Amino acid sequence: MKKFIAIALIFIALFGCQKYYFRNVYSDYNALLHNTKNPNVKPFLKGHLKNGDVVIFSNTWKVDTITNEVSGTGVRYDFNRHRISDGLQTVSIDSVSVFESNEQIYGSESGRIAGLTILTGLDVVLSIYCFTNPKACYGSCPTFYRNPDLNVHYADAEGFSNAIAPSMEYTDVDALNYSTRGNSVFKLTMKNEALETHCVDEVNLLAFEKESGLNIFHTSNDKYFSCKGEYPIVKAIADNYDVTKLLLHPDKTERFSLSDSADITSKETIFLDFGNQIPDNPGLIVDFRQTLMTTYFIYNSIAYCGDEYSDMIAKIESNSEVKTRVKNGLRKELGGIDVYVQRKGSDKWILQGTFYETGPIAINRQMVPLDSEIGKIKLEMNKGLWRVDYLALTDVKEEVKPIVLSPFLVTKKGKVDFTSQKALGSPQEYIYSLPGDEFEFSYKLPSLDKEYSLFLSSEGYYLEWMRKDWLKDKNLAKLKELLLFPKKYLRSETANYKLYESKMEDQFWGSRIDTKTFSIK
Amino acid sequence: MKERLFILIVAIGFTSCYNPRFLPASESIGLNPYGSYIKVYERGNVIRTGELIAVDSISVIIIPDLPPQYRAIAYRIKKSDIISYRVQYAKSKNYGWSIPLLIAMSISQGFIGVATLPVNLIASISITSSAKNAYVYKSNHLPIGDLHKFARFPQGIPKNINITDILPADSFFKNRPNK
Repeated sequence: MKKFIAIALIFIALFGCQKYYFRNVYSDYNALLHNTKNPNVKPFLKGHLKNGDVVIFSNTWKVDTITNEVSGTGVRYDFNRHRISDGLQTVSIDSVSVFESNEQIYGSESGRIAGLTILTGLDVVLSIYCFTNPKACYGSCPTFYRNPDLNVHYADAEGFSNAIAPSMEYTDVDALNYSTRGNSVFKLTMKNEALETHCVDEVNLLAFEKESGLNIFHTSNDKYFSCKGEYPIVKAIADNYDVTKLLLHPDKTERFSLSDSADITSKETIFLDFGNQIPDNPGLIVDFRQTLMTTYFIYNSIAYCGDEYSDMIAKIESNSEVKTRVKNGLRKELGGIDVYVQRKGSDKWILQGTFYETGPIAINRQMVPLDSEIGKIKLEMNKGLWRVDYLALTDVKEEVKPIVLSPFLVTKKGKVDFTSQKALGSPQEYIYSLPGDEFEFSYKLPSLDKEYSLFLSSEGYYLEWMRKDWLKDKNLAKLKELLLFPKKYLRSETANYKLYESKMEDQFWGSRIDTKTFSIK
Repeated sequence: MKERLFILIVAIGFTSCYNPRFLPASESIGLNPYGSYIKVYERGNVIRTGELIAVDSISVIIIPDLPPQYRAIAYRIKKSDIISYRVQYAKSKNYGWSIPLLIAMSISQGFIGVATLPVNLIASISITSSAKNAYVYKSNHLPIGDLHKFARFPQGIPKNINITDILPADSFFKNRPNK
């Protein structure tokens, strides 16, 4: 805060106190001559005449002491300031009540313009940096790519976004939405594009033999089912808008809303209608990801720790209650995407399951099995927290088990990285990935003849780097409120978040190509 | 509350810069035949604004800045009734646009914006504010004894002129012949 006050004072000192003592009035022309005798100083001169007229001379005026006259090029006005004449003016000194001299003011705005230019220039550089390196400004966790040339906007998966401390390590499964046949090797690139240290314990591939006409879907409780067909949505209504088109295809044209300006924890509902095409054993497929809301609060909580961030990490490691609060606090209040079904002939909504995956980068595809007697379906979720891309029903056939594939080769910058390769095989060792690092993992697929549906299973944790600029935001009272009274905290932060929300979303996703637009409805 | 504050700041940025049309640009101060623009705070919470016409031993004479279609009449304000005043002698530059621009810049910087937003706000508001007051003297810097230097008639009202005959700048009536 002191820094900002200092900056403010500098600005006020530079730009707030500029005054121009540029004007003098002389009733005695000798004084006028005395004060303007420097040949380099020929101030503009006004002769205020006794009758109320004024003669304004340009800086070529001169005094003739013999004729007692002032002459020069100028303009004469009457007392109402009608222009009487212009050109050469000659005025008798005796007719003048007072002379007024004015010095030319040069560059009075240059200081302000320079200040604004410098500030805007720095801001533009910073904004371009954030635009081209969004994760450096918006943060995240390890990102995975089938095509390493793509950027963060096209990541296929992001790993363990909730694991912000060693003891919060967990295994995160993401559908790669990719099937392969006839390839013996599958490659995946892991990038660290944020200011974080990624500690990666495992990066396994889950491969499912895929029978013709069947797809494999992952549920939120880490089960896998083979399913037949996809039944598109007929109508979807959210907030009285028809959002069907946004949810009809997995095309990254997502439906999302802005958070409630009165209470960030407000919920919203999407009502779904699949017409008469209800399969025997229905399951609801949802493609979804988070907005930047959770990322915002993760960063806020780190900033509140200030210079005690590492102490806080140590507390999470040593105190299970703190760990539970960190893990569940905001998640419990903000919640996931709850799926409800109303059976035919009943008014009662029955919860079928909840989708939840932290992270705004990669789109998750998951499935929740539903009651077979579906009347109506609805999704309930926190307003402004979720982006939903695709909804469909599928016919659930049977639970299936994956073939777990570990990488047989790990490379870094094109060279075999034996240390990382060894670490992946040992439960107590990690791949340590720093900002800018890229690792390529190669997996051998079991058979060339079979088609495999692939999922990524990554395990580990990450440590967010404390930024110097965040230290000033240390606020342990706020941190305490966040952990102990998350609902109260979220409500109190509503206005702050709203200030960032729309612009932050636009900026973050702004670099997408036109054909993959987003919509708010 | 913070949202309202934000909207208020942006609104101030865009609207805070009123410049009477008769005031010159800062580069043309020496060529302006009119008096400065004065805002007088009188006893009884009265605020008067207009062109400063003249200052004599007991009063300050101003002509109000009414729209051109109205015939404004110059009048006297007793010096003893004046609490304070503010004199603007040139058009101020409006940098209000920089406030929303720099706020938007901060917002585009994600979480770094948490740090840059206060700096940008303080800087843009102080620059806008300083520009607004760049060509202004307040009564605590300009004693009433020197106020006449900024009047249309620094010598006082000429003896041959009745103050009711004085026309304001930009007046519709100015184009009529004098009496």
